[in-house]
Amino acid sequence: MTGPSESTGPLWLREEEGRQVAFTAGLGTPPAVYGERVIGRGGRQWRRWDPTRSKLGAAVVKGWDDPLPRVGERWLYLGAATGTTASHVADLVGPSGAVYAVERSLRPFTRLLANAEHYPNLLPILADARTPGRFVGDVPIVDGLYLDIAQPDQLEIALTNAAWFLRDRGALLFAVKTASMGRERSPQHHLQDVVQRLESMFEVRSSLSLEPMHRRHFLVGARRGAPARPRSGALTPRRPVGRPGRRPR
Amino acid sequence: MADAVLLRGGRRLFLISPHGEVVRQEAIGKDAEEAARSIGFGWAGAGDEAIVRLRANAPPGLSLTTADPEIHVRTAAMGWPVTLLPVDAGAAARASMPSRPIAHERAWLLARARVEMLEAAADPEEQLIALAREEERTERSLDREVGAASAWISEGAPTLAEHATSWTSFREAFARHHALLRGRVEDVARELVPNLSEIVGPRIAARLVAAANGRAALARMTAGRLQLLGARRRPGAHGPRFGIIFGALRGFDPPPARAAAFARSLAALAAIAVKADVSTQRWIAPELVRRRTLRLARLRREHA
Repeated sequence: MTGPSESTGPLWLREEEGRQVAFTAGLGTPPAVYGERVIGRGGRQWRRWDPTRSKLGAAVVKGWDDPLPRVGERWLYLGAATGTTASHVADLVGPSGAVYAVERSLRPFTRLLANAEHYPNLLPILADARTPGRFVGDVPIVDGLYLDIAQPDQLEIALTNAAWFLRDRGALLFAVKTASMGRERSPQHHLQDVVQRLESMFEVRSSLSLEPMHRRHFLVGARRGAPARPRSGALTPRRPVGRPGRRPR
Repeated sequence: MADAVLLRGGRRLFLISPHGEVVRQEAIGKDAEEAARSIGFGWAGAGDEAIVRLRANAPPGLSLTTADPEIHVRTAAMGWPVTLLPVDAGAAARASMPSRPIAHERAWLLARARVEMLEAAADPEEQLIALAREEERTERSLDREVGAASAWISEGAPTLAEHATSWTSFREAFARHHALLRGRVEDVARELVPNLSEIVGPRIAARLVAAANGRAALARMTAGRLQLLGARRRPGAHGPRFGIIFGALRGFDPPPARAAAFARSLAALAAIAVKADVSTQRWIAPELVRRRTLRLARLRREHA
């Protein structure tokens, strides 16, 4: 079996008994956050990414690769709960990146804080994602937004927070729980609706059903802004100058 | 001409010129904890002091904007007109803020999280929820252990006989711990949801609040929802029927065939009681208790 090499990024996929298994290079001390299996290879501690407990983890073993958090990026994570997925996202952005993990409910937050105390780049914020004005002084303009909030207004929360925090061309990973949006309509119908409404602000890149690990859940991946299409005869840039989230390079 | 922007980044306030340079900065509080206390709870003290210092040192004649609603509120309270930018312009202004090292942000956010968590946990309602869950867990494990031990104690199993004394003292200590928890849960429940405690008993009242995750959430529920709170779907059964309310029935001893009917009535009364506890805070329990007694008497008559 081939192991990860020095040049392997923080994500390592391998086959175990005919199934894809994902690992991320853990940054915490001790590495395990939620009792997951940890194996040492190539000087790093690899944490098994449980697909049944993490929606992004399920997507990754199903072949999802774009968009994903990349090394050095700053991500805003809304609905972090106890930090299971958030800690894997923190692994993916590496020590030079950071994850701002927002959770509003006190009891999961207690666990999140305990996990963050031994994670160098997992930054906990006790706040409601519906009121970005409460944490605007704590979160900079970010490269990516991860949203996993099982609420009927999850889409509005995504759009609001993207407007406040996400840079232009920044990534959105949106775990859509269709059961929270009403059961009168089929999950596919809800997904269509979400994608359509995201397109006012995003270029939707991909969407994936997370069955059978997470029932009636989808992951939607998008980038902020319209797709970069060259327009003939256009002399001025397509996007207005000073659009929110532009970072000086 | 563009305006200067007043922003917060962690525990610092920044004044950023129209050209995107930091003109002035002021730290909030002498350390992260003081700053966290100030910002988490209405900017009391240190936060306002930092704004005053920044204002005293700001270059004169600048017209000011901010992207932070909280700064907008504080400066307005001080009679210092600072316009709140729309979200898009605010995000553009924040993009020009100096980037802080992650270790600094982490130290700040951990301090803030600890302070806010302690404060939130001190809320009596949170205490009630935490106590109710712990009391329930303790009761369950005490029941389980006592049940398991009664088998070998009653049979006087010779191998384990010599451990009976130490088991008994452990059981007594465990029971004392449970009684303490129970007493506290009941006190807090009588304080926070007096009407509900009177109708279903304080311990069941506390469990209902915990299951609903708060008094306000419980008060919004219909009687039908409240009756099934805490019910679990059992394999092979038709659906969940027996929730937390059903546990309150024991004290009333309704005729077994009409137990479910009484549970429905009790849930209806409980729904009214908790609404009074949360909104009007009037003491309406005597009337509800009278209706409960009537209902019970009628069910007994019907059954007899």
